[in-house]
Amino acid sequence: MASATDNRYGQKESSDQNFDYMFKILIIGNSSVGKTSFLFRYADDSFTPAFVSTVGIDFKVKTIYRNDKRIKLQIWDTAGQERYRTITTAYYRGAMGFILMYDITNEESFAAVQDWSTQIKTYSWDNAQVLLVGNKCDMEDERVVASERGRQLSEHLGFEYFEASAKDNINVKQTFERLVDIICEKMSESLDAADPAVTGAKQGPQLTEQPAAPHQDCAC
Amino acid sequence: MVMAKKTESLNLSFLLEHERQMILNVLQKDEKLRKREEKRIRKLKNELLELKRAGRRSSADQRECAICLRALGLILQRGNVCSNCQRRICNFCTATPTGSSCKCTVCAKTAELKVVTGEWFLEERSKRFQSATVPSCDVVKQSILSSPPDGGSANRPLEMERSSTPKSERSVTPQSQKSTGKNRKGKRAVAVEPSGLPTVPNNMRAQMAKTPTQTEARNRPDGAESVSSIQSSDSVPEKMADGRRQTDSSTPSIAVSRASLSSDRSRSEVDLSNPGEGLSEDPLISRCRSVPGLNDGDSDEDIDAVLSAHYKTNRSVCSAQSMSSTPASERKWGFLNVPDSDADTTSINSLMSVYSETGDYGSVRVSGEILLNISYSYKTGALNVLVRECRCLATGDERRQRTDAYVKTYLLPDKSRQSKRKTSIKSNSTNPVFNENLRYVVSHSQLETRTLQVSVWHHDRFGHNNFLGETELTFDSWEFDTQIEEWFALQPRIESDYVDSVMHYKGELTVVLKYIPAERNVSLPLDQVQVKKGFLKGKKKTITLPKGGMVELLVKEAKNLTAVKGGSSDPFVKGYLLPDDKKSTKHKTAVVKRSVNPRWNHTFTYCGLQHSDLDSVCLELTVWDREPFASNVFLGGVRLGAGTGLSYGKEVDWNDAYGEEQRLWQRMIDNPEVPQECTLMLRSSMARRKTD
Repeated sequence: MASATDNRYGQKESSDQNFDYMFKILIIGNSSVGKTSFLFRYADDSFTPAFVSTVGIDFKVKTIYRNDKRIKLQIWDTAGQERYRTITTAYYRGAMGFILMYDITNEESFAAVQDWSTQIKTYSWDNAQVLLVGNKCDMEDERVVASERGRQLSEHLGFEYFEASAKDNINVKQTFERLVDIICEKMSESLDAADPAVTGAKQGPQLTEQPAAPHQDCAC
Repeated sequence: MVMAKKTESLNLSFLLEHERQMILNVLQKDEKLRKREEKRIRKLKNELLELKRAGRRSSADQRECAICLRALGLILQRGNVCSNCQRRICNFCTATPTGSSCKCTVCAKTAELKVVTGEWFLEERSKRFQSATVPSCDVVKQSILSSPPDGGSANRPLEMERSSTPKSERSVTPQSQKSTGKNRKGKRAVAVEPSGLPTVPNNMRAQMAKTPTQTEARNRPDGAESVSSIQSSDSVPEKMADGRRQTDSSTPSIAVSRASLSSDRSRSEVDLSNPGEGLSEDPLISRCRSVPGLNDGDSDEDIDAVLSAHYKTNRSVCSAQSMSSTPASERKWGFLNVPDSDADTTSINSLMSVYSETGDYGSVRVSGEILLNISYSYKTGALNVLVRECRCLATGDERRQRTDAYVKTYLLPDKSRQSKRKTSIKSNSTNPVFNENLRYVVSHSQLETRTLQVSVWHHDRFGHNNFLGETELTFDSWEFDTQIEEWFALQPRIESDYVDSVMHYKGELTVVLKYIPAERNVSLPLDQVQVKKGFLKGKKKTITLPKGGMVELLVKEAKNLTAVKGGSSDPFVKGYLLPDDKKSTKHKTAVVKRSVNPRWNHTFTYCGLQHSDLDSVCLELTVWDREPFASNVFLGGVRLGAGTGLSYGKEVDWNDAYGEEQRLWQRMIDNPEVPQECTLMLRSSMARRKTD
């Protein structure tokens, strides 16, 4: 008896563990921009228009198949409210990528993007990958932040940019998949750099090119 | 700041009871996920270990695959050479297609592991945060659990929360650290600077970023005009001083260690300067003390002796002799033999038989096989190893043409008496039939991380037992409800050097290292120096006030240590600054009971180190499980140093730090006064690493 149950447990676990890597992603942004809805749409394909403020933090897990790999995503949903800030910032450090979200119908949430990005720079790693997402793009009538402004800011901050709607399921999946892709890119960069055999080949040409430049400048 | 990490907790008293509960639920959910992830990673690491283990028996001059030992031809099936490890491998063990960057399965797996375990991320992150390892959830959880719920405070102005939240991560970032050390004014200037405009130069960002959290009273994380200067960074010296005082009061944290020119490291030297230092408050120890003759210092030295014996084995010196050659160890043999009438089962002996291997290894040719029946009972939580029989054993005693065989098992990595099982001795047969069951009570999750070592011995009446062969079984991929009955070929004992000690996963140790150069050392507050002086006087040592630089080491915590008994261990850390012939540099942390993830937060300080000494010394840290009535069990260790292999011009085998160990040391030298935090993989053996 005992062994039978244990065996089932074992099987469940093995299917559950059936993935190649695990990425941790954090969604941040002002309160009520739709972070939780965005996550629910992605993970459960559900949407509720009612606003329920997130308490502190929460997360959902979703396994996706991308670039021939099964990737388990642990997606942290954070509370936008100030009062939880001490808790939420504690999680920045563990995140490989971020979704920084604002609400296209809320100017204040857009104005805060700069500061959120500063927070990422402070608490996260150097290569933190960030996607800027303007949510609620289904509410075109109430839009106050033009797409162009979003794009400009994202370029300025060096993030990629999406407009999305959790309600109408626009660009939700795309956002996450793009983020996964760029984390994968960072990962292979990091591995290449760690592998001297590979870097040797890569750095070679760069090193020979560099000394040539100062030589030309030296006209005095 | 990092030194004061112990105090890092977030003030979360503003949370309402139901909020606390909700967050704790999330954390619990996360912990479950992490546990499963850790298990997955452990499995992966074990797989790699298996691969490596299989290959270790190969020798370079033979034409065979370094991994599967398949024979290779001279013309046909020549195999490939791995571009990474340069070993010749067959096509089956080539992971990537033949070409310029052909890799063997071991190297490919190693690289793959970095990806699948997420280690690449940790590495990347550690470039930025030395203290990357405190899982945030742990901090949050601890904070929640330690701060009492406060129902009415939800709407309280956040003033208090702001000022009392330590947020020590803030000053851990390299940028801010530098600014703390060199230019505090700069920091204040930043705090005053108006923000919110994207015109902030990049290098100011990190400092700028502090502003949002400080202005929590505002609705948006912007604007920094109203910010007071940052308390936490300014109070660094105070906090550190506090930390030091703390350690001083409970445990000695300073040893004046003159770097000596001697490179000879005889561990079996008698140590009189060490009357149970440091651990005196520990009830375990006091219990120990009540056993006549078994005091803390002594039992500990046993291990040192054994450890040194281990060093010596590798240099093929008969360690048993070196052990008993000093009066100290003879004394220990004496009392350790008392409680147990069966001489062979005293702990020192069983440790010996694994560490230094009493008896002959080389003298007998190994042959034959052993039939084992292995099963696991969930009901009783027991692993049953039924030793059925052996056949075609080698002759144990050539001269007398006798083989009196018995079988001994250990459930590695536990090499202590608790882990040892033996069959009876079957006299005069090379095909002995035992049919004896050796039983281990161990949970199946624990068993997954263990290795069953089965060795066959010839019993010699005069104590010089001969090794007849062994086999090792791992359980990480075993279906526990199936029974194995199989013949296993006996193999000679192989020096386990080949198995890269790092990959034999023994867990991780997190330390913070800091070097304070001589000119800075003078500025120590006078009262602190006096505390130390007083302490040293107590130990009746002549004191020369610490001159020169100082290395401060905070032993923070360890993760995933080996569980020695009942799913946990009682770990402590011991530190030596090598070369150390006088044992004056020995430090120990307190024992953390029943934990495989202990947190010590204990500071060791080493004085009198000039900058030029740093290349010639090495900080050896070993983790031990405390066994009150037996020898402590070695759980792993690290050596921090420059890894030059030299000490003051002499060649030494202990200056062998490498990889992260070496980098940490270098970081410490390069950044005087800046604490460098690092998480290191524990070595599974402190024997010298093979450098090839």
